[in-house]
Amino acid sequence: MPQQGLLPGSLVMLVFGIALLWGGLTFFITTALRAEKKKEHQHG
Amino acid sequence: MEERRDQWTSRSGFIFATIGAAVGLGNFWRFPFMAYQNGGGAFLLPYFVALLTAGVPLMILEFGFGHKMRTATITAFKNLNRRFEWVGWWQITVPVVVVTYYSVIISWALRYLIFSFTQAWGEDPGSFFNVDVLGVTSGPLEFGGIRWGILAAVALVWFANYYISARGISGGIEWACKWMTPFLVIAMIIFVVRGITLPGASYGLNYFLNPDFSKIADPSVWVAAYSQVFFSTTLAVGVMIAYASYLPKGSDLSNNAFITVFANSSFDFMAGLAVFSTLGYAAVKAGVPFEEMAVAGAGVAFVAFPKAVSMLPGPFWLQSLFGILFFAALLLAGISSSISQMESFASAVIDRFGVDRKKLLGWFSLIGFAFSSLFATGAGVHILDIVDHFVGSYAIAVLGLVEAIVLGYFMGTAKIREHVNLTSDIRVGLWWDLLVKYVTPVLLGYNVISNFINEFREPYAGYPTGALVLFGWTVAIAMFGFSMIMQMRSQQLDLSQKGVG
Repeated sequence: MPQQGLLPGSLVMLVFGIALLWGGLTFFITTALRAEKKKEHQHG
Repeated sequence: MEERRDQWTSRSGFIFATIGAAVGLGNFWRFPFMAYQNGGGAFLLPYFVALLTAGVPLMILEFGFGHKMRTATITAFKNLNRRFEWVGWWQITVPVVVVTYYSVIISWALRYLIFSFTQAWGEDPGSFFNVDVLGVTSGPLEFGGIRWGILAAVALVWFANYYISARGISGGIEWACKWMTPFLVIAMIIFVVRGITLPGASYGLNYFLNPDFSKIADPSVWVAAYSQVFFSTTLAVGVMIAYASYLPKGSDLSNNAFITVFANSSFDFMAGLAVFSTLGYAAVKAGVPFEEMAVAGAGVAFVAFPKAVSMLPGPFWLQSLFGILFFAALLLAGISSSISQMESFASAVIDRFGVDRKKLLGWFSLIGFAFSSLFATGAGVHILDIVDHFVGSYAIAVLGLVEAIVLGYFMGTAKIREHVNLTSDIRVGLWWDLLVKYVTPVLLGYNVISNFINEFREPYAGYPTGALVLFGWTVAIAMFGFSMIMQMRSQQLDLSQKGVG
């Protein structure tokens, strides 16, 4: 019978993956949006 | 009067196109199983190191080079130094060869999209895929005749590629990727949510995520992580150089590179969650060990996933809808990548010779379709596997090495760094020069050498030597030979023009 529920190690790596990959992506997209807003401000 | 060069109309359009190019069929089945076979969750550590030390630096290098030269790969290398034009020619041979078999895999997704309506794979998806759909023969030298259903789907895929690419950057690729890439994001979120909320999902997820840190000491795990990042981001094949050459002056380069690479890796990770949770559920429901469900390679999409779809809770139409969404996502991931391969070739030839885009792509599509028919035979899946292995190991990896050396040492990383820093949101420091000049060449060099040694240790995937020579070595050597011939012809052409002048 397969074990049910995420193992603690799996949970740690899930959080690690989400934090680094999705966290990183969110940070870079936010930086881009801020830069575009700043450019618009300067030109507008 | 010189015609004005097309360009991206928005930053989001460019980013959607680069993500569309990078996210392909491999994201769905290569990364999840690479993690599974190389330490589970522990694989994320070397993968993340590879992302930061190879994926991002090389993406910045290609964006910077393409944008600085403002032309696609052949002319970009020619303008850098006439002696290096062959690098550009060699680069475009990769998408030219790859798109002929990639369009065949996309055609499988198209056929399965239609099969999903009735769940035509029935009780035995493995036999349905191998016997009924592909008609797989016993080996690469036994052709077994054309599979007409596949060939018809391949024709539609080539038409879609032509239809989008012939409309150019802003009117074709940007327009298509602005809806294809968001569709992929939404579809992937649905797959993950559906997958992880299934009973027994954690059984599969533990195979994907539970770390075995002892594997990190194994060099082959690091080679696998660097290969995954490098091949998955569509580097060294002229695509990103061409795309960046169409960015308006003053565009950001470094942050766009970070976004592209991180978005592609986020897709990798989401695919792992979606595939392993769904297969975990199916294994528990069928009462079989996970290993029996986990079929590596294309089998995960065309055998294991259909099997899981038919086991999903809910009425038949809901299961079918999930299948339709999955194969539509595969189809669009494939198309957004194959149009980037077409563009690498088209931009390079148009910039070098000033030919008409529609005519060039029309002929290219017709000839490409003719070559694709080889992969639509019963032996197609074997031939495809051999060609893909040799193109990856002896063209793409070597090209990455050559590109890093030529741009790092002959052009100079400082020149590209200064250009990137002029307009980018994130400043690139000396760390980047070190990665491009030292770390990347060493890692790719190690990768190429280890591939080469393995090649002679045992025949790839147990194929007969004759087939490996015919479809593997011959193709890889011909690609390099072609670039050398074009280099010599180009120099002769330049000399004769000077003589006339």
